[in-house]
Amino acid sequence: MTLTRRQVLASIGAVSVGLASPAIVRAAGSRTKLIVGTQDIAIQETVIASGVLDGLPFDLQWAVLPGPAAQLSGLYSKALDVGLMGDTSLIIEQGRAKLDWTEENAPLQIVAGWRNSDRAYPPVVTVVRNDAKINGLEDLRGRKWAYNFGGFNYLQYVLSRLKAGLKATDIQPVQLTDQFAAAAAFNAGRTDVYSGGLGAVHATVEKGDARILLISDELDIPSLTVFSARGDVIRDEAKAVALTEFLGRVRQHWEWFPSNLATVEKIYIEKLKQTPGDAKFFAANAASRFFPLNAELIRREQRIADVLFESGDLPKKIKVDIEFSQKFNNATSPAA
Amino acid sequence: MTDIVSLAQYALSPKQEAPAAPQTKGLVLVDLTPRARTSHLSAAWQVWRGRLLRVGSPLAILLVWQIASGFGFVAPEVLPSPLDIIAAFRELIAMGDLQSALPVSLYRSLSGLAIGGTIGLTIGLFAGLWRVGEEIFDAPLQMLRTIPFIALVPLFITWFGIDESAKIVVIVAATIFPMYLNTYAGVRGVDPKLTEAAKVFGLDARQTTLHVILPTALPSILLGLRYAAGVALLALVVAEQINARSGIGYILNNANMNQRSDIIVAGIIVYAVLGIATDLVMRVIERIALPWRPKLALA
Repeated sequence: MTLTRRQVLASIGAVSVGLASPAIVRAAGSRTKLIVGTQDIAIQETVIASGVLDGLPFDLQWAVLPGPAAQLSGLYSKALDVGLMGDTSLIIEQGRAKLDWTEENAPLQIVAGWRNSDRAYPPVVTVVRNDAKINGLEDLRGRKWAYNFGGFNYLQYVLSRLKAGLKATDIQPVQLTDQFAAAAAFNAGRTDVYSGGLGAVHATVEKGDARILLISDELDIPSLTVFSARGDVIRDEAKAVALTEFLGRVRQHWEWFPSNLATVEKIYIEKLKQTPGDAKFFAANAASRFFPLNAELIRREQRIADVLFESGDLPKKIKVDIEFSQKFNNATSPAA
Repeated sequence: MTDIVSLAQYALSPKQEAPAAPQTKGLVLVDLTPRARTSHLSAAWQVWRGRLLRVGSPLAILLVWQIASGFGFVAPEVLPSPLDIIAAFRELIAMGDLQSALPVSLYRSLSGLAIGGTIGLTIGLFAGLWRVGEEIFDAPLQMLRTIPFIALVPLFITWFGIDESAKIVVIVAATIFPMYLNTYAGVRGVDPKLTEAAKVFGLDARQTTLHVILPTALPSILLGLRYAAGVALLALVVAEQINARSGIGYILNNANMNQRSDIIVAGIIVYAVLGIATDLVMRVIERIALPWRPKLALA
């Protein structure tokens, strides 16, 4: 028996359809899956504990990848749909991209941003050691200054230095791998100044060994923690619906948060292994709310991009508005 | 008598001149008088002194450490006291973290070691036995081995995703090189006289490889395995940065982010214990695999 080319092609087609049909049926009946990256387990544990995820109409997978670089890798490789980072991460990402970002091709966009609105809990600070005898900005010249590159910690360092009227050569910059390393150097008395998150140095401040010199609000740094989503996720109808639902539920979680600080502290002690003192501080510090991604925020972020360009940290001037998707504002800030 | 004299001559180092034989040509005098016998009490003291020193010196260090911490000479954030570390262990065990972390981490490190070790061994043998293998693999592997794999986490995420396989790939990548280098060096280090002798005895290439080269290279290969086993444990800290919810590396990373130096030191102690356990296993394997190897100790 000889087979004609047509018969062979028909057979291949039939087999292919046979193999593919269960996948098609599965795809048609399957639920949308959203993979959300976080840098530690804190937010996912409190979101779960708040009960807002009950009856979720899509599949949610959390993925813990410490550091913005890992989050961005996860997003670019499509291992993540949504990543968690600081609001300046995309400014640096866009400023260093080989291809210019446009409305059409922007690979990532910020879809939601949050922070504690209480000035008692500034997200980012510049702190000085009391034994360094630094009374004001004028005393920062020549000092050892610990910080880490990237994100709003770095921005806090740059803007604090500029506010003091100093260039990088006027101080002894100590750039370390991350905020924890920078804080460890400061806490151990190896540097006089530290710029970064307050949480990592709050014990030294509370002991009276250091004091806050500048908070991020004084430098007009929004210092939001943000969720960034891939452009194709935002454009995908099913994923966008799931993302809207997810963000709406996270907003409910932020409403639940301040009245359940004891539960949050317990989570921080048991799951994050924080000491009770740290857990109390970090729980109060983490009580946040979503901020609308509006023109005012974009104006402040644009100023940051311009400062980074002028300081030489961004190789090109960028427009930050394309980094923000306002599509989900109704879910995060319904009243705005 | 002649045999004894010959052995005595052989035992002299090349620089030592054999004393001139006064009467008989080629003969030397060897002092074979028995050593003075130590008393039973003295022998027992020798044994117990060794044991006491082994146990006593770490205990003394711990005591000094605790006293220094207790009197505030060492700040807890600089170095937590031994009692703080014991409390951290208690906390990890009470919460079930340590019990759940050990099997997960051991599975990851053993899986990575098995795959990476096999790849390293295969490439090492190929490069060691055949020149074409050396030409293909040696230069790329020598270049790749100097890359710090901790810097590759973002790339590993891009290439291998965020699932369990990505963690194991990190360990595989870390364990290939020590295994490759030691296997390659072991095979290339075989004394050419032995292969010459094999040729004289009429052994073909396969038989020479099986009966001469591999047994001679085995100590080096096992050394590579020993290194690779240690590296597999170290690589956990990097691997468990990739979407891990449990594991020794995860505990350390989490403690680092939350500035729990007591848990960090506890984690280091767990690593030390795992390192000793690995070393013991490797010694047993070496003893079984290398029964002919002498067990030498100077004192």
